[in-house]
Amino acid sequence: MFFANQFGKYRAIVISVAMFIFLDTGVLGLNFYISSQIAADAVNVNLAGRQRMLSQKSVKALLEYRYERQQGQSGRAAYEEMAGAIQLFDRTLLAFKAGGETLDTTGQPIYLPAVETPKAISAVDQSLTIWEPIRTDFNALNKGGGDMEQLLNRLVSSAESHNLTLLKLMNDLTNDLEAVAKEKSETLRLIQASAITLAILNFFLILFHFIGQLRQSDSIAETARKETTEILQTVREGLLLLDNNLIIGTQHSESVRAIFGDQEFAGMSFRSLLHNLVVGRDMSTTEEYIKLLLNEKVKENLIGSLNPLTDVEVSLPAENGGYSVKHLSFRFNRTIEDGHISHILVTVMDVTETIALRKALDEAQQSNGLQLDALKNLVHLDTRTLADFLRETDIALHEINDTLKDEAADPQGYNAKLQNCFRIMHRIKGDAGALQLPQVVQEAHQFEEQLQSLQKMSGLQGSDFLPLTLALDAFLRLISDLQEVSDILKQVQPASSAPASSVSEPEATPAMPLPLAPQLALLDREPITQLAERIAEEQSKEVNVIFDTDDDLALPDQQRSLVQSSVIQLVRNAVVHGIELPEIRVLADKSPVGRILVRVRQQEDGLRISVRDDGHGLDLDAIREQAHSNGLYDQAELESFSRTRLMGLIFHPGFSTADNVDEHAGRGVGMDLVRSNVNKLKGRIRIGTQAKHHCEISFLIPVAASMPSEEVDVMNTQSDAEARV
Amino acid sequence: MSKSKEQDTIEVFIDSVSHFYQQMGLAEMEIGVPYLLDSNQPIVSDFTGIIGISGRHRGCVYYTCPKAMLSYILIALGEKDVGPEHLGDLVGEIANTLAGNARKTFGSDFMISVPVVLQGEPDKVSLPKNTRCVVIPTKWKYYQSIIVVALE
Repeated sequence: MFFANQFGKYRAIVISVAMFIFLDTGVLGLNFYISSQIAADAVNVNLAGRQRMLSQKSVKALLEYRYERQQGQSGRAAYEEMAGAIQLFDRTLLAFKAGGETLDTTGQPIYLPAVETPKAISAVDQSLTIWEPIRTDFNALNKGGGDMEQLLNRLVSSAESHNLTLLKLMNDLTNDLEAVAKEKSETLRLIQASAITLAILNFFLILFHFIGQLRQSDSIAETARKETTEILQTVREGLLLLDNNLIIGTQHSESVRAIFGDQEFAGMSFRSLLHNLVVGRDMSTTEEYIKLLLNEKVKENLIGSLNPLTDVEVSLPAENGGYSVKHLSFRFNRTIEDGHISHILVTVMDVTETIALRKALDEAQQSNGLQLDALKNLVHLDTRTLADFLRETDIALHEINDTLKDEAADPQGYNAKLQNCFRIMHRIKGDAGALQLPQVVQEAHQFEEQLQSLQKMSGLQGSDFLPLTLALDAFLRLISDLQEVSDILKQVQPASSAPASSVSEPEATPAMPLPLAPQLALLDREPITQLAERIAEEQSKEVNVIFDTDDDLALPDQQRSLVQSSVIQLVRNAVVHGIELPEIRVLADKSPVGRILVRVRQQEDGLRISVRDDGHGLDLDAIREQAHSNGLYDQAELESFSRTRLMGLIFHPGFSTADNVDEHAGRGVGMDLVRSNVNKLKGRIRIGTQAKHHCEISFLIPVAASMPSEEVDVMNTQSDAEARV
Repeated sequence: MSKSKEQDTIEVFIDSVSHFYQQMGLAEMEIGVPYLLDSNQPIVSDFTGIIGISGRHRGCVYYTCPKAMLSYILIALGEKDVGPEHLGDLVGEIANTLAGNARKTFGSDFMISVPVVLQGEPDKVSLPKNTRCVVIPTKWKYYQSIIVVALE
């Protein structure tokens, strides 16, 4: 299987090498074959040459034998030599003719193949024709008997007449065999040269082909490497590979460095990478999850939900040396090679922005929910009341913007800005609370929290106000949204709206009770009652608000609004600070239900508005203590203060005796707002209190048509406040 | 109190202008209390450098300052020619710094236009209609200038 898969890739090189081996083996085989042929031919040539010698030797021995016999000697040696030469010549010639055995030069038997070339065959045939009678005569001579002399003479005569011919024929045979051998060796050389040339060509073919292929694959590999590097450098996700032992591989994307900081990742364990980022249990769950992923029997998509690192909040070193909080999401995937899991690919994504967006979306959804609640709350309201509230709030928010805009560079100026914003916002909060608009109350409360955090900030600078400015923008948008809702409500409930008389312009006109029937009542009682009851309920108290007012009394819109918001603050203050818990009231022989009396009286010198509660009265010790701990005055100064002046401190900005800050109390803004409102109304404040019995705060709005000369400094008013004990 | 994205964005523009002064080796610029620009009527001084922004956020950011202040800066930098062209170049350079920092910080979230320099001409500043603009007053020496961020 492996070879089948790989053969395609390496087919060319396998074929080339096989051809190389085939050619070399072929040449080698041919070499062996032709060499053996040449060796055989050399034997033939030798033996053919020997025939030449044997022909002469036998003639010489014949002549010697006849001479010795003529001299009367036996001539035995010559005869033996002649017989040996003739027999060997005969045997070799016959072997040349038809193939057969003869003796080689060393006397060993050797097989001689029949000659094949026409020239050699002709020479052998002619030699046999000459040789046949000589052999017959010699055989007869050898047998003995008969006329030996005659036989001998005939042999000599034959030898003499054919000797040269036979020598020439044997010479021809030798030359022919030599030519054949030469031809064969040339053929061999040619074949060798050709085969070696082919083998060399094949070698160069292999060389160039594969160098080319190697260069090409190198270049492909290089391109792939470059592309991989580019991808790894550009991809925003952190990518890295883990082996079976959860050790990080050598390659990773550049983002890994951006996410985890500049360090050497290759060879590092995954556990060390997540050290300090992921707590113990999550780390072990992660390792178990990765081990499950490495188990081939487990299906990857079935265990995806087990990944504990889909959203990890981590603090990572930032470029500026600090730490930044990021949200990382880890994903783990198998990498498969040859059907087996080779690594785990870890993808790390910085999802900080996604999380922030999701949070924003949740907030927006929550805000929609709030708007729905707001809508529910708006529906029950009188459209005129709502429209007035929204219009006034819009104006108030613009006042805040104007306050921000006013030039002020020193810290005192900044604090004055904040204090002014506090007053305005507290009024909005009070009015919104009275109208049961929790969304606006919440927004105002958050704005106040921002104001307070700025107040606490040392070395306050202009740029620190930016969040406040943006919160103001958000608030204005909320009011604008509510105005849209209010407009819609106006269309759907026109009948319930208040009289259609024109609303007075919000210009600063002096207070003037106007007994005009179409005007709104001086106090909008319902929201005040509802607010008091709501706060009481939240504080586990019971309260009953009683109004004692003359319905004929009225004020221009702006003044009415100031009176309304002041009464709201005073009632709120009475519930929170004055009225005790029912059980305490019972112990003090009081009715468990607290009583708050809101009274408006026309007096000779103006309109007096008072809020009286039957609670525990002002706690002068607590006021003194708070003033001291706030650093307003030292102990000695406070001891010297009159009761009146001490009571006046409750109107000081930021002064509160409440233990905690909540929606209803704690910032010390409410009474400051009352003071500010009364100041705008050019009025005076009076406080009357009796310990454990009651507290009454009232203010007088002067009735004169114009009072430029009667402007009263409320700070002075505070210190001159009448104290009725 | 966690910072909102909007605040981060505006701070980038404030820091850009501050850095410009620092880089020029000029005295530090003071940042005043930011406020909202009502009625969306652009406030412009003598010279204004504007960058337009599109993409995920749309709108513009501009820096506007009096002529006297630009002249002072040019002289402080050793430039003798304080003609309108040079003054425009200087305010353009500040707008360029705004654009550059915004590109660097916000990446693809913001598509930033080439800065435009105006002399007066408040009519040519068009602010987005559905958003309230944040005005950041700044002070250098005794000169007032403002950064206006108007993003939807």
